[in-house]
Order: sequence, then structure tokens, then C-alpha cells
Amino acid sequence: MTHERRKLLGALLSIALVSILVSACASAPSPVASMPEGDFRQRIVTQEVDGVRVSAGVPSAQESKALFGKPLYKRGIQPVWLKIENERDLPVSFLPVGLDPMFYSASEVAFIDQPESRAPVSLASRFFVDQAMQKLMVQPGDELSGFIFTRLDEGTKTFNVDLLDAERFTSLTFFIPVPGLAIDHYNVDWKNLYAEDEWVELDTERLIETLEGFACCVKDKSGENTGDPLNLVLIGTPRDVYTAFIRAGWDETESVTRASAWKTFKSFVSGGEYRYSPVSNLYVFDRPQDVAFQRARENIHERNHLRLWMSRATYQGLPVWVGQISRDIGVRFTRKTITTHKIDPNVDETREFLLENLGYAQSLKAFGYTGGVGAVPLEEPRGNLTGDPWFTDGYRLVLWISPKPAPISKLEFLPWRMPHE
Amino acid sequence: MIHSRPTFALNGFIMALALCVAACSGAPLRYESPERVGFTARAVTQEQGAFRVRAAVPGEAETERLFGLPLYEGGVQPVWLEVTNRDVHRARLVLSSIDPDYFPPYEVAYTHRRQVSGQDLPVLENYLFEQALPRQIGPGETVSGFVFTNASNGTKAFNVDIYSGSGVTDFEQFTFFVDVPGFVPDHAEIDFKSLYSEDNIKKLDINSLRTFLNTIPTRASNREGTKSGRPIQSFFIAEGKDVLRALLRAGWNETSYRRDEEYLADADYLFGRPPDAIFSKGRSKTTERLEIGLWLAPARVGEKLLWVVQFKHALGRRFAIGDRFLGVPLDPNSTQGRDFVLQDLWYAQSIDRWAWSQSGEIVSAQTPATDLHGNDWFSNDEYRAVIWIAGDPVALGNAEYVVWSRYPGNGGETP
Repeated sequence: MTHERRKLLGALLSIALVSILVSACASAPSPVASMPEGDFRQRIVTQEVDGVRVSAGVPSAQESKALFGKPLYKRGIQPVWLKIENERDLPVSFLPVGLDPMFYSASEVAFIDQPESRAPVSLASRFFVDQAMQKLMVQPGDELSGFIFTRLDEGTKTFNVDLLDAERFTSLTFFIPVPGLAIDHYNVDWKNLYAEDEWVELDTERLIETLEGFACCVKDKSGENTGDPLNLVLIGTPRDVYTAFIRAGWDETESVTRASAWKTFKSFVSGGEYRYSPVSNLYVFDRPQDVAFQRARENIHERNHLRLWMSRATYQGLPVWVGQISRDIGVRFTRKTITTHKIDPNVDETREFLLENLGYAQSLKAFGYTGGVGAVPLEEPRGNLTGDPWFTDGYRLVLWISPKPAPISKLEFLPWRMPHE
Repeated sequence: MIHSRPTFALNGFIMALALCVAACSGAPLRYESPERVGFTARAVTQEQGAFRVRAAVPGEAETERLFGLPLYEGGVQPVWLEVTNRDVHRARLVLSSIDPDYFPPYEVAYTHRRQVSGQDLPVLENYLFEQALPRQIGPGETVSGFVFTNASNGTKAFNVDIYSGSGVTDFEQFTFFVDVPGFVPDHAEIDFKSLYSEDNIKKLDINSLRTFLNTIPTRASNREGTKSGRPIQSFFIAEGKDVLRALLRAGWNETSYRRDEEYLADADYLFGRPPDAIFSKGRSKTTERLEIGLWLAPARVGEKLLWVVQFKHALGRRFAIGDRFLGVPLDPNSTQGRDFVLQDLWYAQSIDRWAWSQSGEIVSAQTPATDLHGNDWFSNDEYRAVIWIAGDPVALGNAEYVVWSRYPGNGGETP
């Protein structure tokens, strides 16, 4: 009787499941993802770690339909193609639950649109079974490839590829832009947002002073009316900001196009989900937001919205952003815009939610507060541009984005202003 | 085909109807204090570091008395907490640790606005705002209030994370499993102690366990024992409460299927009875697609109980809460289901040790077996997973692999 116990790895990986224990993902300031083009085989991304090479590609809605003969995206399913090459001298196991805890089995995908079929081990399903990753273990010197059927994320697809062998656990994080959406930040020319001589590097004292000197609130296009409070400050490169929000489960936002307007309308009427719905333009520095993110629950009526503008200031060489976050708690009718989202008047609650959300997604290096909005008490709320009331303690939350995943135990507090004392 | 969403036209109609109803509805607000409703008497108390946390979850009827609104119907379940900070520093409670998609009080009020009259909405907003649990707790202070979470069936499982000090240096994490009245899970109706007499319980050690598992059938059967059913893919070794905690932590929900004649006639049987407990899990809160059935085996491994595990994965339709997996198409790939459960529990930090028992059967995909309801199934190898369940979380890298057999797949050596 062989009864041998082996510790898989002694290293401490205790932090909650998923994703997060990631290596990789870019750090130095680099451009944000650009509009992806071409066949998905041309968009394959490869990463290598300790003798294992992982390549991943994500077919678009159209490509998936052509590949599998079914409108998989419409059914909420997104195929991810993977190839794992093992140069180690140990067998390596791939853990699909780490890629998507609720991934779809090949039989399940085969079964879609064929409810009458009582025997999924039919010719139809053999096709999907053959396309899917068959085995989970790659022998030394061998490779493994196939599709994993995941839950749909349009815009940028982010996922981990978790690998386990007798000695170590490895996790690689992928961010793969997928064609099909007119994402707002594809249109921003980050490099030329300001002229070379317009950037100003600030020390801590001057940064606080500058941040507290920014306008309290967003404006409309005319610049005459003020709306929601600018209650956020971010420090980080466009790439790091983008990665941080995607990792924390936020969705990108489509620009206003005829297609996106139709999708928004459909979603409103049906109560269905349109996670990338365009947001209305609000103005800071005389221009609409540079980028918007949103985080949806089950339908369009309940989601968080966040808009960001890059300022001319830099701190320790990193761009400083000013932003506005609000939580939609429902839809109501207005004379001006016909329908609008009703926001949670307690905007500080939403601001603190964001701190927890980004902190737990390991997206933050440090946080703190500055003034600048001015206190607005519950009893005398102000109104945003569509007439929704809001109140606040008047502080801006400063979020210093970490270029790579940072455990929450390492999160620093910047004692600039103390709103809760 | 049952689509996951009502049609476009139907929704438009429902919406028009809702608007019409909205204009003419609204009842006066009526709510009772937590003390009066009395559910806080059930509060569970935990102490760690400088903090004491009491937690209780009002049931559906109690919630309606508390807020005058049927919050459960809208998918909202209030969790009541009382937190004492004995530290000299201010502390911060992380609401997202209890439910990352919690509802703030104004949202709860606004989504129920049609159930109160127009002038009562601000009153409701103020009431919920006052009742909500604050994030900040001053030194020496005790705060209490509600967090509005997404409703789930059965025992409520959640964490409460608290940071103190000027930064986030000091950290305590509490994990609660709180009973909720009004829901009786299936396993609560079984008297586990009387299932077997002490004489009939095999006392096993890790070596005799290996042999014993060969005696557990590879498939369940029908009630009469005349037809074979779905495969038995895994075993758990743990006390009942640890199995419950581990599954709750991995996002599984308890079920409360009625054991009526229809159910008894159609169920998979082992040891002459249907599963002692069934847990389910789905892709969203209204779908249930995966099920784990558990039978207590007439054996004990050391001090721990042995559970026989059957995994089912329903295909292609949406399940309402309470729907049963009778006569629905199931995923034929039994091996994949077994691997899913193993990984699912591993990521939930619920595995202390695991091993492969070569006690199953190979059923090829070309000549699949058929279950009690005419579904095909196949199994790529003859291995069954044996999982020593951890009641308290075990770090991912610290789960131990017990080498019994060669690892399934590729004829490889053990990983």
C-alpha cells in the first residue's frame, strides 16, 4: 500500500479564490488597448512562465457564429481558444474553473437551440466535444489546445489561466480586446490630449492644493449649469486604470452610435441587460469625459456609472485624473431627456463602494482623501443636471492605481485629509 | 424551448401595465422596530481581536414586519449586524465583504416606491437610511443596523471584514452561517442518527477505506433496485456541518424539495433511499443548473462521516427555485462533472486532502449508458474523487494530495 502524502506547494496562497493572485499584466505606461481587428487567430496573445507557454484568443460574435454555426454570443456564451505548451519536466494540469467558475460544458453548448434532442452524445454534440479542451493535463514536452466556453464579456475579455503541477500553482492573467463594440476609449488620442509643455508635475502639497482647487462638479455643454460632484481622483497611467477597472468587474462603455442607441432602447423596454450602454456627456476641462466605466447588476436599471477626465497634473510621473461616480437606482421620466437614471442621493456611499471594490480586486496601491467638493448636507441637497438630489461630506476619494495586482494587506493610507475624524 | 427572457412585445405590455398600476397604488407605511419583531434574540455572536460581532437574519415574514415591504419578493434579504469596536482606533467595516452586490438603502426604497404612496417615499428613504449599518465605527463604539443583501435560500453564509488603525493594517475576518426561519432544508428533515444502527457502521482507517469504496455501487438505481441510474462520482469525508459550510462557501444553496410520491418514484436511490441532501447552484440567482446529491454511507473514517456524492448538470433550460431535476436533459459527461466539483471545492478553499479511488467504471461515449429518465451518460475513466472536506478554509496551496492511484487521464504519473 502506497500511502504517500505530498504538499503541493507550501507557498501561501491563502487569499480568496479566483483570479487575483496573478502575475503578469503590463506595468510601464503604455497605450490602452486599441480597436481590435482581423481574424481571432491574428489576435492571439501568448504569455510564458516557468516553462509553460499559454496562448489565448477570443473569437468575436460573428467569428463564433461562423465557427460553431450557432449565435453563441446571443445565448451569453463566449468561446475562448487556448493552447498550453508544457516544457517543464512535470505534467501540468489546467483548471477551467479558475478561468470561469461557471463555464459551459461542451454538451451544454451543443444542446443550445436543440431542446428536442434527448441524447446529447449525438453527432451534433460530438462536434462541440471535439472542439473543446478534452483533457486537463499536459504531459512534459506535449501541448493541449481547444475551446473553453465561458460566460460572455464583450469589449475586453479578461480571464486567468490557472495551472497546477506537483510543485507550484501558476496563474496568468489575460486581457484580450474583442471586436464588435465601439468602445469610447478607442477614440481617445491619449498622447495628444495635452501639448508637451502643458503637463505639470506636482509634489504632494501642491497636488492636494490643485485637487482642492478643481471645480466642485461636472458641467453641461454650455458650461453654465453644474451637476454631479467630482468625488474621485485617480493616479495612474491610462493602461493601469483600464486594467484595474476591468479586473474589478467593470465594463467598458460604447460611444453613441445608431447601433448602441438601439441597444439601449431595447434594453430599456425589455428590462434586459446592455452592459456597455453609452452614457450621457458631462463636462470638465471644457470637454466630455475621456472614458466611462459601468458595473451592472441584472438590468440597466441598477448599475454604477463612473466618468473620468485626465488632468494636466502628474504626480510621481503618473497622470492624475478627476472623476465622478454615481449609482443608478432606477429609471424615471424627465421632460428634458425623456428617461434618465435616478441616482442614489448618498453619493458618498457609492464612492466608498468603489474603494472596497477596487481594493478587493487588488487594483490599489494607496488611497486617501482631499477636499474640494464642499459639504452638502442631507437636509439641503443639491441637484444634478437632470434634477436628482445628492448630498455629501464634501471629500474626494483619491485612488492610486497599482500597476500590478496588490494584496489589500499592502494597501497604504495617505493621511492627507481625514473625513471620518 | 424555454427562453430565458420573455419576449420583447410582452415586456412592453407589462411595462405599460406597471406604469398604469403605479399611478394608482400605494399603501401607508407601517414598520416595526427590530426589538419588537424580536428576531435579534437569535443573533449569533463572534469575537475576534478587538471586535465583537452579532449577526441575525430576519425571515421573509419578519422582514415584512420590519420594513412594511415584501423585500424577499424583490430579491432583497436584510442582514442585521451589531459591531463593537474595543480598539483605541477608528475601524472600518467593509460592506462589500458581506455581499459585493449589496443594495444601498436609497436603492431599496426607490425600487419599492410603487408600493408606497408618493408622500411616503421620503419617509421610507429616511427610515431605511437610518436603519442601514454604517461603515465607520469609532473607538469604543457599538453600531448596529441592516445590510441589504441579495436573497438566497436556506442558511445565510457571509463574511464580515473589519479594518482598523489609520490605514488597513489591522484586519479581522468573521465568517457567519446563520439560520433563517421559514426555510427548512431537506437535510433538516432527516434523522441522520437513526439511519444506521451503531453495529452496522463500518469503522475504517485510510487503508480499509480504499477497499470499502470498491463496495459502493458505481451507479444509483431506481426505487425497486431494478434499473441503474446516474453514476456515483465522488466521496466526501467530513462531519455534516463541515460539508454544509464547505458547500455554502463554494456558492451552493440548500434545497427543500418535497419528498412526495412523484419525487420518490423518480429519484436516484442508493442504500435504498433517495439522497439525504441536495444542494444546487446556478449561473444567476434565478437559474439552477447544477446539483449535488449526498448520501450518508454506513461507515466512518476515523471520527469522520463518509458521504457518497452524485453530481448532475442540467442542460438548456432555465430552472425556477424549487424546480426538480426530474426528466430534464442532463450533461452526459460524468468525468467532467467530477472534475468540476473537485476544482469548485478547491477554489472555495474547502479541501483538506484528496485522493483518487479506482472504484468507478469506464463507460465509453460511443456506447453510453442510460439513466432512469432516458438520458445518456459516459465516463472517460474509472476514478472517483475522495475529498476530505475542510470546515475552515484551507489555503489553495495547502490542500494535500494522497497518492492512491495513478492520476486519471493520459496514463500519467501522479501530478
